[in-house]
Amino acid sequence: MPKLGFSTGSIAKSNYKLALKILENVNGIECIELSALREEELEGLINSLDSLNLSKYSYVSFHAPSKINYLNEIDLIKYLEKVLDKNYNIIVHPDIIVDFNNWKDFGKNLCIENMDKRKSIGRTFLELSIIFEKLPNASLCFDIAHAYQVDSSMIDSIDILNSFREKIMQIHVSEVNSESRHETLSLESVLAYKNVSPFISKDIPIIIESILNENEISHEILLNEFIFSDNISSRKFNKLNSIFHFQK
Amino acid sequence: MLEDLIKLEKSTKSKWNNIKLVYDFSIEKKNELKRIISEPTKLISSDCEFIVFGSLARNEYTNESDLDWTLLIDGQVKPNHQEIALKIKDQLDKAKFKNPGFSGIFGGLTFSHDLVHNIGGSDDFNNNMTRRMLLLLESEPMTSDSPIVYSRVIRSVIKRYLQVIFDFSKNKYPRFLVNDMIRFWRTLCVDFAAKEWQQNDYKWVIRNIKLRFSRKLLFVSGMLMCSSIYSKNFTEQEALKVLEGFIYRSPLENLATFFNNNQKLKNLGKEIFSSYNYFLGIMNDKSQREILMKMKPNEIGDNKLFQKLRKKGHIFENSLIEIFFEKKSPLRDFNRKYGVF
Repeated sequence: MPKLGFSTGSIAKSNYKLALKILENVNGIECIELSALREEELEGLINSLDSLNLSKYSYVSFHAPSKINYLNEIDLIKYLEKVLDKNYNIIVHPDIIVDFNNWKDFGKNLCIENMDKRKSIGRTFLELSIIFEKLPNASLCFDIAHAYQVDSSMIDSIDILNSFREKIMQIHVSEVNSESRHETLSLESVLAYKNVSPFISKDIPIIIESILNENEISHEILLNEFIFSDNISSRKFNKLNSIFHFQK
Repeated sequence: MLEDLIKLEKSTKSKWNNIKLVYDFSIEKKNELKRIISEPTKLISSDCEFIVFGSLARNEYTNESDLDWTLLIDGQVKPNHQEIALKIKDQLDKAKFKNPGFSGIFGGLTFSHDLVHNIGGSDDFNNNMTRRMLLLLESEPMTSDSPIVYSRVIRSVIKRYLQVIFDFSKNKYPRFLVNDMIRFWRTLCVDFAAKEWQQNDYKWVIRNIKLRFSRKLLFVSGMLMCSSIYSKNFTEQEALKVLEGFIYRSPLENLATFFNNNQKLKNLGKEIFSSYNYFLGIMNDKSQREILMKMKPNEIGDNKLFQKLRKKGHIFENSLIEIFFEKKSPLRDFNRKYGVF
């Protein structure tokens, strides 16, 4: 089975404590991404890192803010160094980087995420290649929804997955709508992602980023199991089929 | 960009200065165009891209050419798309770029949905088919160095052609694409007659000349594209990338590459490029082009300029027929199998 997990932001926006509490009782997950997607979440989350009970998870990562308005780059890096002490992978949007030299010491723990269509860098294989030339040791968080939005043929996804195979540390999964907001998976996305899942190594953590309420968690896990597994049980397949009506 | 052409020019000991002249002018005009549209296109979202077609995209632009363009939209529809298109049009008018023709195919909005989903069938009207085929055969995005919308739509259209057979790995060849390519060429020919009927002798001569050269070149470039995946045992992804490679090069570049890869046919290449070089020289000469614009169909018999172009057109066509059916040509098998039936 794939190594599945959630971003805390997908379960409870700006409330990692609540998200972790909800996820305590969820079966079938072993990964967690601590999300400080909004700048104001950063300090509180970092200060509480030592006190969080994450024993359930075999993989923990940390999502840095996607925009910085009040902090400067050096201050942000100082905060993130505390995450680095934990040896967590730190997911960073490339468009917040001002000076690539400042980020070199993060090594492979700096996990660059491929961007959605709104951004002007880091969207495609070619644009990511430029970033990795500047940060040769950095790794990659492959956001499959962003990649699908940028190139629905998924050809670029295959280029990214093949060329940066060694760099991929985790996968982000969700549906992104036309305004680039994360949503629960549709059949269209499930089928598109399933086509490229054979290019993803089975031991790579899958982080679900779909914005969910508590009732939708098990459904989203099921869809991700379907996408990233070679086979799923008949019981699970029948459950999926009752929603999507596809043929085995 | 002209590397292949220069290589062929050298190996055939030819001089194709007119091709190079219009190429340089096209690059100059594209840079000018990018500057002009930078203001209105700042207003467009990440779902839109400004695309040029026609002679500018083929790198054959002259001072007398129209500018064929569209605002390609691949995403959420918004009422202000039209406003942006009108702002672009204003800027182009001010900069004295010539408006596209009256057909309504260019100079406004194009939605990706129609291009991708209406291939064939009763909703694939002439304008839709023309936009789609020209997107594949002579188009270039102008708004960014990393054209996400353009590339996404191109790939979706190609994928439609490849996926009609459901499992590319079992069938290997998309007849659908080659049939549409041939349909497009035949439509251009039929529409030439339709325009003669509708518009009498208005621009008949210049249309006739273009049909003999630039329109024919488009078709040949399209057939080269289709043949590139014939009997190659490609996966769908590989086929898509090979086809995409043709789209990102101009028709002349595609043709030059073909001859450089098939040296035994290079004498045909010499004939083809020399005739086309002559055609572009006339198109780039304001006074001679004007003569052709004003010429009536009943005047062509006595006109030396038209007769010379016609003769060059025959050389161009006969040489193209040779590369389609000549025994030594790698296109022969493909054309026998798919070109007629």
